[in-house]
Amino acid sequence: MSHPLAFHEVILRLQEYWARYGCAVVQPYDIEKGAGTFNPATFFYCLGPEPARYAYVEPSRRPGDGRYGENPNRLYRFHQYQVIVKPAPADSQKIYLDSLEFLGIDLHKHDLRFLEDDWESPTLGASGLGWQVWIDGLEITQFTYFQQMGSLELKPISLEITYGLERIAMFLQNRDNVFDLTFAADPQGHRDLRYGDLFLEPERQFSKYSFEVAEAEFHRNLFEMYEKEFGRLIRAGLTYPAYDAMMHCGHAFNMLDASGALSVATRAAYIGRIRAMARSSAESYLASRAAAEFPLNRPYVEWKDRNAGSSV
Amino acid sequence: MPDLLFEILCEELPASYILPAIEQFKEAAHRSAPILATHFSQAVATPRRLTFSWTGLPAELPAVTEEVKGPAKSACYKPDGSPTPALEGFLRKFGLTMDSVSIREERGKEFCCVTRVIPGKRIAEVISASIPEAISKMTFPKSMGWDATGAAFARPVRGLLCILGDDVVDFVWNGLRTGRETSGHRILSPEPLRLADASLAKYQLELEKRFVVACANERRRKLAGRMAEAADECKCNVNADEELLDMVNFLVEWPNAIAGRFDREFLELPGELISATLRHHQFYFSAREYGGEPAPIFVASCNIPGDSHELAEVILGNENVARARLADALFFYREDRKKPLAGRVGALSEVVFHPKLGSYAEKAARVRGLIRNMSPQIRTSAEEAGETFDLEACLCAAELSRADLLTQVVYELPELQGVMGRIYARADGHSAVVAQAIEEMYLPRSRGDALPRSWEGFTLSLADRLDSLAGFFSAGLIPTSAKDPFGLRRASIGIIALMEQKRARIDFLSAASEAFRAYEPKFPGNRKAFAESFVPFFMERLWGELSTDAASDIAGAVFSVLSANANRFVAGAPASIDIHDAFIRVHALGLIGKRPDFAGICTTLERAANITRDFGDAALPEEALLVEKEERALYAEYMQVAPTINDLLTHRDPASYSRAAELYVGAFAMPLHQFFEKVFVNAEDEKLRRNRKALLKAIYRLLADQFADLTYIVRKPE
Repeated sequence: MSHPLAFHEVILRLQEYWARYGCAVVQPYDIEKGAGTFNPATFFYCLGPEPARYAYVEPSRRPGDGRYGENPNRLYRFHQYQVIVKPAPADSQKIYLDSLEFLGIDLHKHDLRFLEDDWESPTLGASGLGWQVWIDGLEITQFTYFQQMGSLELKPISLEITYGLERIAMFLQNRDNVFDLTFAADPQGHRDLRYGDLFLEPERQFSKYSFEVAEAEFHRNLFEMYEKEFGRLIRAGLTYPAYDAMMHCGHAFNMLDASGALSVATRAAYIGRIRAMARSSAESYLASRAAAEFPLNRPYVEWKDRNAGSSV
Repeated sequence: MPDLLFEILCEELPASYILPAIEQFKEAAHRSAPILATHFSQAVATPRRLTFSWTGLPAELPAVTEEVKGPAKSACYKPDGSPTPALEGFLRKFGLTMDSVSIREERGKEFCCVTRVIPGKRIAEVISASIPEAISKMTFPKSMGWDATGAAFARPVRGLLCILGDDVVDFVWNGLRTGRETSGHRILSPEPLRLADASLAKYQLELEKRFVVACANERRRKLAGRMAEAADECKCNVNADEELLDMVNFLVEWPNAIAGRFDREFLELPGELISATLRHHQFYFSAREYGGEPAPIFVASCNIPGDSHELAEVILGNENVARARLADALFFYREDRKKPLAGRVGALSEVVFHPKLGSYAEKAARVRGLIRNMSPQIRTSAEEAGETFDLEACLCAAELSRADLLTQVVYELPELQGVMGRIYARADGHSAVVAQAIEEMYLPRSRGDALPRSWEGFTLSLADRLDSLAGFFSAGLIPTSAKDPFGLRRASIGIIALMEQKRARIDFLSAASEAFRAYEPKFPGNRKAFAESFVPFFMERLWGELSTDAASDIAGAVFSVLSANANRFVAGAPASIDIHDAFIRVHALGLIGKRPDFAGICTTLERAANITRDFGDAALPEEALLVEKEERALYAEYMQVAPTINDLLTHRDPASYSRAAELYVGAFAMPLHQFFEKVFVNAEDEKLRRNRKALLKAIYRLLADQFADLTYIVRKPE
């Protein structure tokens, strides 16, 4: 390879690789979240007996991780590349390793390891077993066989691969500060667009917002309002809008947590409330899929062939 | 006589699971097929494979004939002679008919019996039945599923190799079929490797060509060697860390190592902090210059071959990561240094020790009280040992201890609590004594761990543990046989180890009782918990520790005295327990136990104890009432040695205990024996009888009250 991949090229390559593998390349979900696992493409689609193959970039916000742009590799907002495959293939690890080679990494020259990692998301009621993947000591991926989602046992098991895009780009470009990353190279070679050009100022402002300017009262109210809305929606059988409300609660909680306004007990109580919402969402989703006789397990029925009035 | 080779090929297993998994599999397989147990040869393991080898197995197991006893004859036949359902069921179980039934008599009762033949089996059948069952029986701290079969294991199992002699033993475990194939290094040699036979040596040889050293011990040795070489290239030595090496050994299949550099700027950090940062986040080893000073070098395991030139990119990558980690540590360290430990003490009132027991600030106040209370005895003990005890330093350490919990470094690296306390205390200008005691408070962390060297550290560690025990027991948070979430067993064993090591004249009962008293405001009436739960719990631990390295009857002879004292104390009578002294007594008694006449006197003494069991303690023998020659002789011995023995016992040192015991056995072995031969204790005359009992009781109590109750000794007279 003549030059290392720019940040956006890493994304393009992964999109290409996983599209060829057979994943549907879907889009980030347009509500704030701490990780790509919250995207409905993961949360919902790993539930139940239907197959799932999805890949997408997920910008993830973690208000507590903001460092005013002063830390070389900690960010308020970063990018995950998320792959979900159900059922988990028998050659999961090999497929993943091939994707690294597709990014131009010569695995024969680098020390790649799978290190035990028991992944858990207490808010989603999700857990899985797998690894952190290290390359030359740097964690670049979380590799997880989901065991639970929405507090429900999963069968079949889904494979989740979460690439840390900034980490991988830093490795490929041999940079030790995330803001120095080439985001997009200038074809004329005059001035590449750097990661910091795009995100340094937002990092500063969002850090200031979450640590200094945000008001706990506002986010507490948001949480209460969205939680109430969640209840109303889930009772109405509106699973997807209800789940959106739950995601809003998740972000409000993250803001509260970053502001240091939560005692240990209060924090645990908030987490429990989100987990309860996640569970109802999961149950509601499964019930509706079952009612529809798990459409992805059956041939597609063309629109014109459907009975009038049967679709909602 | 074929060999058997069996490999479970997995995705990377958690390092800590591997050795227990090997044992579990062996146990399960060998229980279901004992023939395998007798032919077991060796197990080898890497992060991806658990491999077992058996040698010289018989090709077949012979048929076995056995008689099986069935129901009583009376329950087997109806009046017309036809079989009852009971007999029919019994026969059905073995697939036999009425002709096979024979009648056997046993203790006057008749039973129906059959003779069944367990047919001989080919060894392959035994293997294909017991091995898959054994895999399914393995359990892990966390198990997972990965496919539709419902298989559960620590991580997905991807291959089963099972070769007997030259042949595959064919079986299926959760959809996975056995074969003769495995593969080498995940990245360097992923293609299938076919094995011709069950030879473990060839298996290892072929794998080694494919960048896998299968044998864990061999890999560990090579890894340690490569680490030393890599460090040597940078002119330094690796800091040994056996536990980390054990762990890292199960993170690689190929044992290689690299050394990386970091900026000298980071040497501003204490060596312990550098090591913990590298270890905690990255499993790296720290290093030191040949002269001993911390070196700006780290050593990391590496799962691919190559020297420092070939691995230049790997080294560079690891250096970037190490730099980021150390930069974080340096940032935290410098932030922490801006505020002295003393300035953090106030905030300990916000840090919860346990919701029911209050904050660490409250704990520190109680611990200081306990230290003050013990200080006169501690000071005397220190002086006896030719050392010193600085009460003010100890109290200061008690106050500052745990202030390091509020530092960023300890928040990030909890394993450094105490260590950072010592470092920050010293940096704040506290004396070395204070700093050392802060660190030593945590010792011993586990059985066999280092113990405090200073009297201040000893006292703080002791007081802190007594306080924890008193608190949790007062609150009713008592360990169960399965669960001990607050480490109270460990705390008790810690106290015993502390006391065993230092000759401290501390009465354990009153010290523990004080600790409970300090919790009385929170838990009125906690004396009940002290008497009914804590003392029995602690005494059980003490028994365990006393009897670890001693014959149990020797330990029992001493323990019975302690146990009686504990009961007396709990009942409100004055009594004490000196744990250090107890260990000395067990040792001294162990030595005297080797004398040939020892067993004899113990037996005789037991008679003396039994016959005077109901005899009050107060009376002393009177010379005027002694009639027989033998009892006069015994009395004379008693009068002669008793004062010396009593005096010796007050010294409470090993030599005096040995001498007292020697003297006792020497003086009484013969006359006591002759006494029982010739003298009738239960004489008609009550005065005579009482006097004889008084004499026996006095002799018995001479050791039993203060040293050891020899009637607990059970051994055959020589």
